Amino acid sequence: MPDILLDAWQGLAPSLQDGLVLAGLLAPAVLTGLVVTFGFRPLVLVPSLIWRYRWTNLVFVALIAVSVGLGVGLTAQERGLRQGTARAAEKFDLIVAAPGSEITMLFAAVYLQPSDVPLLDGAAYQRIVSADNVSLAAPIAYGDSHDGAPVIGTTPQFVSHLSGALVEGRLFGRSGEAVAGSAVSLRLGAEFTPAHGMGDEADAAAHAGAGTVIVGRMAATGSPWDKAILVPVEAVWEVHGLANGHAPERSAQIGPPFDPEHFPGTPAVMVHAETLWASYALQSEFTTDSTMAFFPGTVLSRLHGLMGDVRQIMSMMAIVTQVLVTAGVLTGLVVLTRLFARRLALLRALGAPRRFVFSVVWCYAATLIGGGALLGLAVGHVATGILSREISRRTDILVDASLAWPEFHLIAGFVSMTMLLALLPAFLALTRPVIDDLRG
Amino acid sequence: MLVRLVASVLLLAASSGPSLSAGSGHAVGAAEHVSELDGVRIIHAWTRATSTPEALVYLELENRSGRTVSLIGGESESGSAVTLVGLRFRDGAAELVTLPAVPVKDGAELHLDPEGLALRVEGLKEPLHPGDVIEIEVRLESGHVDVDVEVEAADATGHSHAGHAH
Repeated sequence: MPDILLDAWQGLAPSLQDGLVLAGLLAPAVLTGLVVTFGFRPLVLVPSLIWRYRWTNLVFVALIAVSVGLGVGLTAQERGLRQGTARAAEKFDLIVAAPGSEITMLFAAVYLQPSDVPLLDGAAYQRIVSADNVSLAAPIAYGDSHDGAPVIGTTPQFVSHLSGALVEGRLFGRSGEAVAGSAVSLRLGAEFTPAHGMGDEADAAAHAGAGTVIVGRMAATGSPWDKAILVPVEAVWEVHGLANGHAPERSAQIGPPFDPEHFPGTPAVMVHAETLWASYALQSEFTTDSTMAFFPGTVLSRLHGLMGDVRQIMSMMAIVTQVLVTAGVLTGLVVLTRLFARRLALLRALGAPRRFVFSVVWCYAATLIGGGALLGLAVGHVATGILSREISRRTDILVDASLAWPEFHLIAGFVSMTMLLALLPAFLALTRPVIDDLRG
Repeated sequence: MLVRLVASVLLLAASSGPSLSAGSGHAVGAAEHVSELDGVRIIHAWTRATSTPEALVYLELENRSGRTVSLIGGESESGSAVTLVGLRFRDGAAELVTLPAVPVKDGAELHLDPEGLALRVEGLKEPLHPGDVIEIEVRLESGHVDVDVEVEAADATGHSHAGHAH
């Protein structure tokens, strides 16, 4: 593309670019229609053809609609899942942990899929807290659970950072108090005892006597933290028989500052800086032999990048599936034209030009394709909503997918391609012998 | 005699081709993998082939200078501007934002990697092809470092020598 055009294109607003791409994709269908119908008014006959074989036509339209709807529903879902997982990680600016796998730690600290990792000690935590530009450094201590809900040890400041103001109650102020995620079934005032571990292997009796009461509830975050129960990190250390992060004379304290000498360790620390440049500086500072620092968003973005080819394959498969279904429908149309072959033959016997009959058959096929595509848009909208709810339910990540420009482009490309293919049954209809068809 | 003169001029013009190309910011051939200024090393600078007027340059910066240095941005004859950018996420979508500077402590490293920090070269004068080398002048608070940036494939995820010790 010449530079001047490239510059002009890149100067356009994204929505205008998308609109122009849509127009470009629809152009072949529109141009074909203009050329095929030039000089004629074939559309006056199409409604009667459609009504005469309405049930058969309805089946054809439904087939196109379902294939289009499922295709665009799936591609929209893939985008919604990507955005949902990224949104769930947004509050986790920078994670500092012991050196290891960034992906393992991402899953553990952000998506609450715990795994055994080395702990950061008190000295490392102190270096993080003391670093320039750190406005929040919160330990994230996982490993316990209650009735399938992860119990996470952290600080009151982290709870506020994660969800903002509580929708109910107050922050925890001592060991034995907890704040529930928005989707946790325990009510305010309910008591529970954390089990050691998670899943089927969780040991419900290991922390007997560590009764905990729910004193607050977070606002929804659209992340797995909605199903978590947050407790003071001091409580997690205490129920495991460790020091509670503070010197004995301050053992009732909740939250920072922690005493490095009484800091038992934490799998991860969430670090927040007020500016992006400061976050990158902190990542550089804490990428050392003893600590690993990473941006969850970056790791996630790389994972999404790896899936880029899969996304293209999905889009291609959606188009191929739709074209195959339409090819089947058009083959059916060839058979269907036999049903009204006598009417077409009559038209020709009355002196209708061959191109007029050609345009009637093409417009008939184009109406079914266009109707199917429009109905497919509605099916896609409904399918997207159903799939989003189901994925959100199964993953605990809020997926809020909706049809957008990529899906509109997909449908426009499909309509143009199949309307060109619809020229075939129109040609075949002209090859039928008029006299034989008139005799029926 | 005239034929010899013409042949000599043509030969001279042919041999000076790469230099002319290098002067305009593009060259093809071996590139320096390491650049250094007062204990600050810049290693494995690379970018992706592109036909758009913008490219993101990635590199590794090692600070062994004995003091904190700040990466500010850069300049290049290959483009109209070189700015330091970072990736920010808003409502599930990523966007590149311009950063003023990133300080790197003594003994630390700063990695400019895909989906993270980068030097954005804007207003590229020519498309970048795999195997090309462009030159940029990386601006640090303490001075400028000339860096050869190797152009990798459009879908590359790292420098082709990534992992080699220098």
